[in-house]
Amino acid sequence: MSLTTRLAWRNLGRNRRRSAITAAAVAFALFFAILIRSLQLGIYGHMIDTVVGGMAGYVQVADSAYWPSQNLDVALAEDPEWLDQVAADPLVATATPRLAGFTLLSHRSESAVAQWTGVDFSREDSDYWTSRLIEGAFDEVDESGPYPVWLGRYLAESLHASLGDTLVGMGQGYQGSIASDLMIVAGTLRLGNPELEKRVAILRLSDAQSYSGAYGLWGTIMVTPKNTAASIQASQALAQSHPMTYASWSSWEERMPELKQAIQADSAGGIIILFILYVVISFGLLGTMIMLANERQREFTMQIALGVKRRVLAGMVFVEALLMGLLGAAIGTFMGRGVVYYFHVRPLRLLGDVASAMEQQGWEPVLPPTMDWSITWTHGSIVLLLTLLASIWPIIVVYKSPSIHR
Amino acid sequence: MALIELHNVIKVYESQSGSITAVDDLSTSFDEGEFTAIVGPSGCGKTTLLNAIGGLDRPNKGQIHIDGVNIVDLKDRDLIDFRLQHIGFVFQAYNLIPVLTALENTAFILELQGVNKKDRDARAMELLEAVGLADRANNRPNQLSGGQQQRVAVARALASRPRFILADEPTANLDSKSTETLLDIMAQLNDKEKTTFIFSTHDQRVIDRARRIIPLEDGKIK
Repeated sequence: MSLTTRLAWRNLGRNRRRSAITAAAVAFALFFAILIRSLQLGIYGHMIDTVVGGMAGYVQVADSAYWPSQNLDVALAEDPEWLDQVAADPLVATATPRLAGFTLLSHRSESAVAQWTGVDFSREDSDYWTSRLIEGAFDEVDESGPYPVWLGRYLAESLHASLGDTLVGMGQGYQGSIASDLMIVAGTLRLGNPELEKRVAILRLSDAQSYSGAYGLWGTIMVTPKNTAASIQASQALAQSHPMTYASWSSWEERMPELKQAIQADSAGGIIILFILYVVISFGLLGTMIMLANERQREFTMQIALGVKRRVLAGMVFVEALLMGLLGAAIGTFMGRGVVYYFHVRPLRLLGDVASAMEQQGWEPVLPPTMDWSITWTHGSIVLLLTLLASIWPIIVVYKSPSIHR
Repeated sequence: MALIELHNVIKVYESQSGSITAVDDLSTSFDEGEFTAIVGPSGCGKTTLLNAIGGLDRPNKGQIHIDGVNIVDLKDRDLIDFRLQHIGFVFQAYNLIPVLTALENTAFILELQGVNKKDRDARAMELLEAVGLADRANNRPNQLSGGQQQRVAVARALASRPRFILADEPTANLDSKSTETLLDIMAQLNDKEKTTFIFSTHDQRVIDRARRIIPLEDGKIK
């Protein structure tokens, strides 16, 4: 161990309380930063995953005129060969066709507007749908009976419909035709987004085509890239490599700018809170470093007199701050990651008025934190940098120290 | 040629109450192997003179030659290096590094000079034996008495075999017994290692043991 490191390490033990307080300040800051950001980004991730990943698609292929009206009349002709090529692209995790429209659903005396969506379960991630099923099943379907339908749980509630109940659907079909038929409730779904759960009715793709008269047509193709965080880039790259006549590719950020802006606005609030936390912690760290410098000024002077180069002393103070910062960062990471892991496994579910307020905004009242390591690295680096910036004070004192003590 | 030569050294401190001339046009020299005490009452300029010789404080005028090098002309960085290589210091308040053991404190200058661990530990141990503290080698300063700490400081000053040692009131905080022990040690080392010692003191016990005495008054040699 070099002299600088040895002195720095031993100096930590000289005023154990101060070293502990400094490390605790760093640990506290990092703990809260990890917790706040993990919860915040986790909620956004959950929302994007449920709204975008499950229903709209991170990347979507549709007729150029499909958005924003989502008009069934401009559906695309089925092209399974092209779809297989897209699904086999190394950038793509899944590619699956959808067909969607709006209808009125009735059960006994209750009616509700629903968005029916035709899903090709053979191409979908089966775990995704199974995990969202509250009751019912996807594979126990009577082929001779009405179309099986899986309802969002709030839609089922509003229709007072339960498993096995028959519904009447009526709405506009393809090219001005009437879409009307019976449906049987085959299951209810928790989709992770209250707005979706109020309106979504899932049909099998073939049933949806038959119901709407859009035979041999797809409304959209939902593409999930392997790197969902880079959906814009994936959308652009896939559009180049898999062109389709009349079709256009779009990422969810392009189709839903309001969702992206809402996330950015909310995220900015979290960043401001963290900024305030960091400012408070920084002053605490600076205060500690000023005390350290004042206590040691005579010692610095004496060592300079003996022939210790100022850069050696500056290095010693820097390493001392670094060690305190690393110790605090390690504790903060351990605590932060531990608590985040606990809530990742057992997400906080909000109750009462707070839950209602969140649901009204279309957010599921659940707080699932993300386990993304980049949050730990980013905020760990920030608190470490703040500690090292605070160490500039004693370094300045070292460089200003005279070689005699008057 | 003398080891240290001072030519017309003047050091003036400015204060709110006016200028104070601590060293007033002083010229003298010190030869190798001297055991010299600079004596005088408080405020006569002893410490200022010692600081100037040690390159800790720059005179306003005059030249200080050590081994032919005028240290007044050296830059701060070069002066630090010069002190490290050529001068040993013993301070009134011991000034040991509290987080290092007696052995590590003694070897501290050698470590700064880049001497390998084996050689510096051997030299430090030899000196701790010489000052009678071999059995306290692994003790930290707060586990040593004032006299023991000052003996470690002397060992530290001697470790790198400097050309001379400047000791500013080295016995000021010591009791009679510790003072006698310390003076015996320094006198022996002066004989044995031929190290030049220059003290500032007004302690009669030190003055009695010095081989040369430089009396100062108002910054001048009486």
